[in-house]
Amino acid sequence: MACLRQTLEMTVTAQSSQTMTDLELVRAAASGDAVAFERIYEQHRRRVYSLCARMLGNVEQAEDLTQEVFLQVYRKIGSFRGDSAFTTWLHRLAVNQVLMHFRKRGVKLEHTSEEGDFTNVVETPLQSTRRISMVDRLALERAIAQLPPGYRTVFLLHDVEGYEHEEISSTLGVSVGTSKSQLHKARMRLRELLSKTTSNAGE
Amino acid sequence: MACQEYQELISDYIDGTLELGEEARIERHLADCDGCRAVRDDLLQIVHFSRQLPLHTPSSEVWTQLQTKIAAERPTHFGSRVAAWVSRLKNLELNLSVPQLAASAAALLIIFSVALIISRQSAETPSASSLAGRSGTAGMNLLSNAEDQEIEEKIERLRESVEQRRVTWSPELQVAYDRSIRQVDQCLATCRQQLSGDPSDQVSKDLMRDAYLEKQRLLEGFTKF
Amino acid sequence: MSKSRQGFGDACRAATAALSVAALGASAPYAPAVERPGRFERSYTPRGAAHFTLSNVSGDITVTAWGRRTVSVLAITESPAAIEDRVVGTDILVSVKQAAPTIRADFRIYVPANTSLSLKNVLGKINVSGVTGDIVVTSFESEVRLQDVQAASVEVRVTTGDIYFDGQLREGGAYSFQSMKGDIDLNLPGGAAFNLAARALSEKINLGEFAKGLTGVTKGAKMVSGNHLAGGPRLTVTTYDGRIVLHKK
Repeated sequence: MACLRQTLEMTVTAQSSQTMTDLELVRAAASGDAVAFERIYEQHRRRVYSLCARMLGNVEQAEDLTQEVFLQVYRKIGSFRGDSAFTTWLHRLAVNQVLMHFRKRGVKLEHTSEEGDFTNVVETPLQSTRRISMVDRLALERAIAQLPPGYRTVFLLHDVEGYEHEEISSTLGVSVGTSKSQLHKARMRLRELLSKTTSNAGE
Repeated sequence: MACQEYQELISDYIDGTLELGEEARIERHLADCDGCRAVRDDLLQIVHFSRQLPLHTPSSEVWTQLQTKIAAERPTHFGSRVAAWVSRLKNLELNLSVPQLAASAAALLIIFSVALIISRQSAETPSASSLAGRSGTAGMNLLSNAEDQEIEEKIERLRESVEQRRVTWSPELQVAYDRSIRQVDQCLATCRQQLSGDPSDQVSKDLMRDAYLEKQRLLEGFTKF
Repeated sequence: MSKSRQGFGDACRAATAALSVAALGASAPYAPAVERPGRFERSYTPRGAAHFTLSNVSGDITVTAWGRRTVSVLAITESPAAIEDRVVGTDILVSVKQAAPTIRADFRIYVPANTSLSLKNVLGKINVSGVTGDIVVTSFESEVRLQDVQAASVEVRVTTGDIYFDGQLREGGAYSFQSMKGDIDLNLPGGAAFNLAARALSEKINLGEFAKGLTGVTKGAKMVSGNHLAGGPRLTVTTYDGRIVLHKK
C-alpha cells in the first residue's frame, strides 16, 4: 500500500506498557503503516461490530456501520492525541456513528410511556418463585434486541459497554435522571421478556 | 412506600447510586419482601450476564470493502480507479445475493429475526435512483457487457503495471504469477459462459464479481514484487 | 525515619525508571539466537496474546501451537539475511525479502495457542495446528491445512490449492474459505451449529451427514445455504474448480 504523506503530532504521556503498544500502533498507522492499521482493525473490530449489531439489531447495517467507523478511524487517526486511551476514543467514535445512524433514520430514542410499557411491576409471593434462566445467552441477546431503541441504547451503553450515567447523559443529550430511569425500565422489560422465555420451553 | 416505589429504586440500589439513607431503607424492605427480592435477584443476574455477552465477529467482507474505500481515498493512480469501481459494484449488488446475505448474518440474524422491532427495520433497499441511469431493466442486468469492458479495462491497467515488473522477478515467481492469472481468467470465463446461458443466474454473477476481486488481489499482491 | 522514607522513595523511582525503560525498549523482548548458516532462528516472549504475521514468498510454512509462552521461529533458508523481523508490542512481524532468484524459506514456527496468525505466501504449503487465535491465510499457490483449530475467525484465500480445515466453530465466529482451483474439505463436529453459504462453480457440494440437520435451505446447481441445527457461526465456502465436502468428526 502506498504511504500517506501525513505529518503526525503526538503528545507522549506516561503510559502503561499496554497503552504504549496502542500508541505505537496508532502512531504507525497515522504515518501510513498499512500493517499497523490492519492490526488496529483486527484488535478492535469485534467490539465495534458487537456494539453496532446490538444497537441496530441488524447484521447488515452493523457491518456497514463498522466499516464506516473504521473509515473514520482511518481519516481521523492523525488527530488522536493520546490524552485518553485509544479504545475510549474509538468507542466514542463508534457510539457517535450509531447515534448519527439513528438520527438519519428518524429513530426516536426518547421513550415516553406507550403501549407495552408495563404498569404492573408488583410481584406477588407466588410469582417470586419463578426465576429467569440466564444460562441461555441467546435468550438474553434476543431479549435485548426486542427492547425499544431508547431503552436498548441506554442499557447497552451502561450494562454492556460500561458507560456511567453522566457520560450517557452527555452523549445522548438527556438528563442523568432520564438515563437512570431508562436503564431501569430496560432491565425490567428484559426481566419480563426473559421470564416469558423460560416458561416457553423448547423455543 | 409501596412495593412499586421500592422496585423503581432497585436499579439504582444495584448500581450503588442510592444515598446511604435510601439504601438502608431498601435493604430493610428487601429483608421482608419476597417479591422485591425476586426483582433484585433477577436484575442482578441480567446485569451480571450482560457484562459477559460474547463478542461477535464481522465477516471478512467488512475488511475487504473497507480496504477498497480506503484505497479510493488514497491518491494513487491505479488503486483509486479499481477501488472506486469495486466499491460501486459492491454498492449495487448489496441487496441481491440472498445466499450471500444469509451467510453473512450470523447467529445474530436468528436472534434479531425474533425481535418485533427488527422485523420493522428493513435492510437498505436500493433506491430506484441508484439503479436509474443503468439499463432500464430493474437491477437484474448489472454486469452488462459495457460494464464488463470497463472493469476489464481497469484491471488491465493494473496488470500492465505488474507485467512491467515481472521481468525483474525470478523465473519461479513469474511462473507462479502466470499460472495464477491464467487460473483466475479461466474462472472468469466459466462464469461468463454460465451467465450467457442464463443471465439471471445470481450465483454466477456473484462468483464473477468475486473472481474479479480475486484478480485484483492477485495483481495487488504481485505489485509488491 | 525521613531518611528511610527517602530511601524507599528513591528505590521506587529507580524501579519505575527501570520499568519504563524496559517498556520503551522492547515490549515483546526477544533473544536472537546465534546465527548459523542456512538458518534464521528467533524466539519472542510476548506480554499477552500475540499476533504473528509472516510474509513469505516461496517455501512451506508450519505453525504449531505449544504450551510455552514463547513464539519460536525457525526458517531453513539459503539466505537468512533476507529475513527481517520487527516487534511492535505484542505484534511480531517476519518477512522475507523478494529477490531474484527467489529466496526459498521453509518456516517451522511454534506459538502459544492463543496467538493470532496472519500468514502470507506465494508458493508453498501452509500448515497450522492447535491454534485458538484468529487465523488469516492468504496465498496464491498453496495447499492449506488447518488442523485442530479453535479460532473464532478463520479466513483462507488461495488462487490455487486445496484447503483442509479441521476444528471447532466458536459462537459468534466467522469462517471463510476460498479457492479458485482446489477442493475444500471441512472436518467438523457432528453437533456443530453454523450458518452455511457454500458455492462451487464446477463441481459438487457434499454436505455428508450435515445435510440432515440443515434448515432454511436454499439450494441451486452451484450453491447451498442454510442453517445447521440452531445456526450460529458463519461458514462461507467458495471454490471455482473443485469440490466442497463436509465431514463429520
